[in-house]
Amino acid sequence: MSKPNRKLTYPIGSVWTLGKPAQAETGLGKIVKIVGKAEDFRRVVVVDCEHPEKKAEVRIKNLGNKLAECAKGFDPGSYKLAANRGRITSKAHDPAAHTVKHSFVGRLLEEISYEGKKVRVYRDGGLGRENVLTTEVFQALDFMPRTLFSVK
Amino acid sequence: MIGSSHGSTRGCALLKQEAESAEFSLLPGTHSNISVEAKNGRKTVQPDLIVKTKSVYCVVEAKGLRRSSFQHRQLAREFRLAHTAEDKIPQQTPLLLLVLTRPPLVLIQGKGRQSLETAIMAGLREEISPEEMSGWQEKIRETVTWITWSDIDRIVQRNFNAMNIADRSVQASIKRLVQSISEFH
Repeated sequence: MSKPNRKLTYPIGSVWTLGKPAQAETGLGKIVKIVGKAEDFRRVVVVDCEHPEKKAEVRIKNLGNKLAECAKGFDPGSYKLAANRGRITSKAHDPAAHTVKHSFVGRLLEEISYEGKKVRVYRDGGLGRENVLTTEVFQALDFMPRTLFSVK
Repeated sequence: MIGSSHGSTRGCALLKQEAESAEFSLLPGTHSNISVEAKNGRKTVQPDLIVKTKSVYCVVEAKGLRRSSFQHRQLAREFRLAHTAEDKIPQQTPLLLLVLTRPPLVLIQGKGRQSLETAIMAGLREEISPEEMSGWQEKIRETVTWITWSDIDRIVQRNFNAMNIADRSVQASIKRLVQSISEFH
């Protein structure tokens, strides 16, 4: 029997990140496990690693990075910790927070990174664009001496 | 700035009082799944900013200077996020702050210009069951507030001009921050 010369790129059981739009569309989280193939060869069936009851068909092109060949022994929590390394978690009064403190510029860059071809519209420096404007203004407000500015 | 916004007086007063300790989390939905419960499952919400203090959980939605509109359920979802966010603690007063190009009415996709109350109520009717609808209208009046970009610029300039700072370097530092708002706006 001839030896297959091609390795399956999307094997069942492997763990992947899922793109933002697909997350929004399916309600799945960021990390998913492939559990089956769909009729359409461009799609696979995945489950949310953190909420295994959530299952959906997604397009292969919406899968991002492969995190593990096999879900066995894979801990989504540890991946998140690695991904969030360098970010400072929210302060003590909000121990259950899932929003994290992060640099304004870092967050903006992260957001822009999802814009694909549209990223070219930022060549003018993002003038008038909502996310850039919000970043510029609220970063300045964050850095200002707030008590001095509390006079109406 | 928050003290000069229009709408919820209690939430704004609390936020102003605790401004010094307020934590800003820009574009929090980019890497976290922030969502609200809706009739047909949880829906992702991507506010521009979340500001948290000991007593206030404030969701901020800003609209750019170019002609831009709200998606027709966006305001309702962000409003509900302020009330029901997973990381909101019970003692935090919910607040939805909208930063607009000009005062309401606001432009809603496919619906034209609407008041904030109308837009939020219309979105809520599509997102939650009729039995859950009671009380929300009152909460809109209590917990939604808005300000314009030009208001922010004007208030920051005015307060800077009223400040008396002896240290020239500190004054120059604050001036640069104030200018960064004016220049971008």
